Amino acid sequence: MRYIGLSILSFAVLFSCAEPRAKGIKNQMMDDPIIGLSYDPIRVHFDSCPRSLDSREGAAKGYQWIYAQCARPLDTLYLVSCLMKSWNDEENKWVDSILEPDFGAIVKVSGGKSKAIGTPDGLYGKHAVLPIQDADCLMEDAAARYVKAFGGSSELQKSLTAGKITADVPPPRFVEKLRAKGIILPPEKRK
Amino acid sequence: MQGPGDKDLEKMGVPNSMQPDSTARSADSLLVNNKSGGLGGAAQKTLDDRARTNQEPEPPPETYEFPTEEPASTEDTAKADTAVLSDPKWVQPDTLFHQEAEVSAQLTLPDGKEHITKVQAELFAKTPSGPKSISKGEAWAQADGKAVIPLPVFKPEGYVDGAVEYFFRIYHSLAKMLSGEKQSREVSEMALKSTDHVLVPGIAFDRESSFIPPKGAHSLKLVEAKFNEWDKKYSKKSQIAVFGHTDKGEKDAKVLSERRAQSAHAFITDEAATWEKLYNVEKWGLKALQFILKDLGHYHGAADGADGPKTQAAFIAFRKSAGVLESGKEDPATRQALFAAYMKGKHDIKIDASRFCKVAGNPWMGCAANNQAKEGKEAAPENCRVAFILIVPSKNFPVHFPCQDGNEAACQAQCKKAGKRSAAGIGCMFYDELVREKKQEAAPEEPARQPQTKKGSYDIEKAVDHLNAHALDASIHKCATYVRQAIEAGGGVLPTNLSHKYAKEYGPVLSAMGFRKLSIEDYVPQKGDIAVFQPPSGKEEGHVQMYNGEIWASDFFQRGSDIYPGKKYREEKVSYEIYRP
Repeated sequence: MRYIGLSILSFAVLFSCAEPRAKGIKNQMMDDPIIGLSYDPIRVHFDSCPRSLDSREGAAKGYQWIYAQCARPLDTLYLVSCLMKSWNDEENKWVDSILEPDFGAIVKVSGGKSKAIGTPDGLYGKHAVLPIQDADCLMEDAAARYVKAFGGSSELQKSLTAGKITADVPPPRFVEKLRAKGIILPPEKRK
Repeated sequence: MQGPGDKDLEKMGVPNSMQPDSTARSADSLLVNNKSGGLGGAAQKTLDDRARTNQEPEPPPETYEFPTEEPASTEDTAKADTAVLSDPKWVQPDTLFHQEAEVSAQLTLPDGKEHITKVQAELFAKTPSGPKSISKGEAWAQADGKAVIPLPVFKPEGYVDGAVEYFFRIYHSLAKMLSGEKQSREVSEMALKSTDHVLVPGIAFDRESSFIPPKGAHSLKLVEAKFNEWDKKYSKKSQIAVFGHTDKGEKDAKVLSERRAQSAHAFITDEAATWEKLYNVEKWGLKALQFILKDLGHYHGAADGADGPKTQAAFIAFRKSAGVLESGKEDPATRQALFAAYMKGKHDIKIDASRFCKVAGNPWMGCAANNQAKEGKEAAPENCRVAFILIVPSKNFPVHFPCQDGNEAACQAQCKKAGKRSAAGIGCMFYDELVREKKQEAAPEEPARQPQTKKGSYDIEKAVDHLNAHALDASIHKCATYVRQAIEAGGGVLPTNLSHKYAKEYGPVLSAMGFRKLSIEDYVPQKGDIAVFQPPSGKEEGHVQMYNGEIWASDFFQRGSDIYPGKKYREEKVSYEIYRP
């Protein structure tokens, strides 16, 4: 029963990302789940989710991206996000015309089964869902993926500067890794 | 301008293990050189070195603009390199074993070094062989200079039981080590077990007896009053531990102390049969019965144990009033009826039997003469007593009491444990942890609220329970639905004339339902509060979430350090409103 429960949970989360099978990704901005930086998914290319992460319902390619990955001895962690349709609570239906970025999810994949275990806010801190070394592992991988997705450090720096992203926004490990790649975020302006 | 070398850091009291790694210091150097007008010299060399060693060397982008600031002169260098750490504190009022404590300090950085915000801390335990390092942690100072550093609290090696005293030290690469030794605090096993506890003095007995005279019965009302007060404060979650005590010189101290606790428990829970047993074991005699008959208004003579016409008349009067058949002078049936009338009459105490802690299988325990109210060689009536300890259990409850029924060996083992006791008469370390006054009581829970909805009273617990049972670990973009269903589970009825298509529309809906809108200034979340967010720029839905007493939740449990549901909301500091039922 527990196994079924986990599968249902992972389906629920991943199915949600399968929903935005909308027509209009064009001109639709995405917010990355680690920084909250808005970007154009047509121009910025994060890797698409592998089949093991793809929902059985078949998430449309290009709507679900990997922002970080970390292989552990028994499983692999992914930090993923997607664009989704909006949910109309009153009419109990999805709204095709409105796509919005997801908050992102930390997904554990093991033996072909996936399970969402938290959101990027749960990487660190009092209510962290991962050991700190695993969160660090994800952030180290994320830094490399961001550089690649944005087309190099220079391009990423431009986007971060344009987005007015300061060093207090992303997790410190991510900031450190960006710094090691020559990308520097200014500290939050003192009050 | 280079950061301090390893030797410099050692001089400043920063241990090798706590010193920033060379990568971080190189990066610091890089930023400072940029500030002084572009890359060059040592900084450029650092970059070149990095380019040779890193897998993905990337030059710093030329487009990035650093804050305009005058470069520091050579004369200013020494002064400019000094940072100051101050105001060391524990963040939480209580610290538990095997959990993360947080310590904080204020960091003041010199001009040009504002980016070196990493602060590290180390936790130490005071042990008989000196301070032992327990854990290390690091964090980055925020805009206001405050750094909050998590430090896991483990038991030191060789720990057996009792309280451990911890202190911390805080380090920064440019500052003198900051000692938090004056802020040391004790952590004990009991802290794991309860969120609050209080000692109620209880009642005093005659020597060698566990009979509760009317004066003592009246004192039990105070226990009931305190218990009811705690029931309101802690939503009926508190439990009572009953401990009997003896004075030095009383015979069979351990057993007598247990009988006293049992007697008090029986009185509260109306167990007349237990008193009948105690009556026979201790041979309370006629005197005890005369006390009761007098208290019930049937006897007007002295309670001296001497039988006579007044006593007999009192028994007759009692039998008549209680409907007990005549069966001689006194008999078990009459006594039990008398005890029951005494317990249920004006001294009746309404505390359910289920609210008593089980200690070694019984809802009471005795401490013999190990925990004295008044220390000394002289006989002290104050020590012939029963004490009540009200405990609000934590999730780690039930407590594993070390006590043993009828065996004082466990008491003696606890008394041998090293450590300071909160009072001179207390020998048992475990008992001391139970009765030790907490420095800060847990925040009281909100009292029951008035009906707020059309459907009747809104039940916050039911709403939160529903949300806790249904929220997922990641969002499925149905926050409005999950919060609405939780509100409905709590008895709330949404108005039909207001739209609630999207989460952002819930403000007017909640107001119409009778929820109070709160100011977000100095806001402290309470269980059941609902936050309604407008959407970030370019978005439509917004977000709605409910506080479950620990974290915010909607269709998913939010594990961030603040109220915002995600990065974009946090980054834009999106506006929100708080509603309280």
